[in-house]
Amino acid sequence: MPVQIGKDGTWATEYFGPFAGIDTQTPENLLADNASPAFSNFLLRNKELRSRPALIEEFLGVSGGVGNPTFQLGISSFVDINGIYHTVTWARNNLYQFNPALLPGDPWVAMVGAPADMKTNTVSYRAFANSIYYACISQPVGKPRPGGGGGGPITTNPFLAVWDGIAAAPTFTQTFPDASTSQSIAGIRLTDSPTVGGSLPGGPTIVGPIAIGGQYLGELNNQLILANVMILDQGTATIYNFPNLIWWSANGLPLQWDPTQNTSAGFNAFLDVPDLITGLVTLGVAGYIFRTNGVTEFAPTGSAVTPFRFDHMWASDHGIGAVLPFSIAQYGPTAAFIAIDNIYTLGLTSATPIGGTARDAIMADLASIQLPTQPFANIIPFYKQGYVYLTYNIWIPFPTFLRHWVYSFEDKNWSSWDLQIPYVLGVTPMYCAPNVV
Amino acid sequence: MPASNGGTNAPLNLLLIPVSVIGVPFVTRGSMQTFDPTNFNDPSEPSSYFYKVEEVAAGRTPTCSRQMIMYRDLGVATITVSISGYDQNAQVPVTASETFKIGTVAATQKLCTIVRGLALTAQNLQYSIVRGANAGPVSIVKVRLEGRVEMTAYA
Repeated sequence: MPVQIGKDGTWATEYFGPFAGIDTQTPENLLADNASPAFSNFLLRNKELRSRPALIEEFLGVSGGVGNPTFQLGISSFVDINGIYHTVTWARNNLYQFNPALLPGDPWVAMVGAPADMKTNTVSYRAFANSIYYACISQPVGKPRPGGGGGGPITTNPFLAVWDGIAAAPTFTQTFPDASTSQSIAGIRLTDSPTVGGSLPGGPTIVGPIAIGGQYLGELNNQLILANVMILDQGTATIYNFPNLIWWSANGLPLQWDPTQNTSAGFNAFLDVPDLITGLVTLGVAGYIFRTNGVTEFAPTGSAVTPFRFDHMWASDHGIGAVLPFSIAQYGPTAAFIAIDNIYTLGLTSATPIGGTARDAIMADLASIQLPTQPFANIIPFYKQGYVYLTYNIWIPFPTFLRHWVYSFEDKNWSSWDLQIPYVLGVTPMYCAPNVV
Repeated sequence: MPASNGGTNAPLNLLLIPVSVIGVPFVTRGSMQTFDPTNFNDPSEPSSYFYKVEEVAAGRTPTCSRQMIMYRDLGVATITVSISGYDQNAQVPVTASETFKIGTVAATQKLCTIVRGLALTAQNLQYSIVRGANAGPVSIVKVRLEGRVEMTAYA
């Protein structure tokens, strides 16, 4: 309520919800009555200013112990063909499954799920056909800037693995009819590797077999899709980076990635864009491949030979794209991501800026990140079942706390929370986005 | 049909935040954290909220002398409220603050109102509420500020 002044010189004003959230882009005296120039750790849900929920440890995480640092690289859940749910996380060279019977002790059961130590490389995962598929490659961890980078990649052999929730352990190798074995379920047999590998950008001389991995994993048209691809030529132990390439499996055959064996498998290198791939989402019948300065739409064609049609919505030197790996999050028909100029949602029809009056503050935080940290983001529908708060969340580690920006889709406001999750020099506390499982 | 390898009959329906509890020089252990929506008293971090700056009447120096805070009783909490402004005579920022408790042990969830008499005469008045770490759960529904301002016309 604006200030009311009586004839006798008395005045009054009132502040109440719904609240507009943080506004750092307007002088404090020109703010809306329901906006704030600064606040921390207040929740604006349901038109009240409530101190945010306490941050608690629900249970122990994966631990390596003193001198054996272990970083959790992802958290997800899937339902198997028996209707049983599996909550999984990843660290070192293991997939870990949650076992509630072990509580209050360490509830995570390790099973080997990667060909080597995944170190600090974030896992990208996707449930498909009642199994969890996941990939992990060297991830540039560092100060956000177009193309990521800054910290330098920590080399990890690329791979794609799968676990169906039934087998004793995930599978990350595939043996082909020519008796060769790839160190990834996305692989090219030895006999086909020179042909397939030779058709990749640059025409490398490949011995094979090839193990294929990628920074990002998605699915469209019953085909798994790896984006920002890295391959290992097992014959020469050489790793090749293709940051502008996507590679898809055959339709309905997630273990078939060889286009010489099945024409619906294949790859496409975006040689005509000036940047690199930083993520992908699929909305309805279309997919969107994010680049640092652009977005490429792709859609199924119905053809097995050329299963996807690609359309660079723009391929300019500078433009709206996802500059931060793992800033892309999705909830149903809505995706959100961080571009160099704003935070956006992407729906079925358009991209909409949502940074609003908090944009400058968020961008300042993102620009202040210190190595080796990297922000993560996700869309959270609820904290616990029954407590709904549909929000896009950005998690930014700082030395003495973790800054958590919260955007409410319902109220269209931003809140800033600080969490007691510090890091020490050289080690960051977060290597993957939180998730509802 | 082969039996499942572990798992649960339902999803956890829970936000999990995987983080590392870091010691020097190594990560000592992993932790799965979450927000507890039944507990609005974070033990480690304070909360603060600053309202907009009020001119009240352009060029005049108002006094704020009464505050009405409507809140939901989530339990006992200690808050510090402040009115800050600018003293144009001394040309310095000025602040008046007080600390008091709100809420009850019973945590009735009812709406309550407390009237306070914190006073400050200054320009550009700004009200703020701060809750210390582990100082209790706070839920402010409405704040009303009242006072007086000189209305004599300039000569």
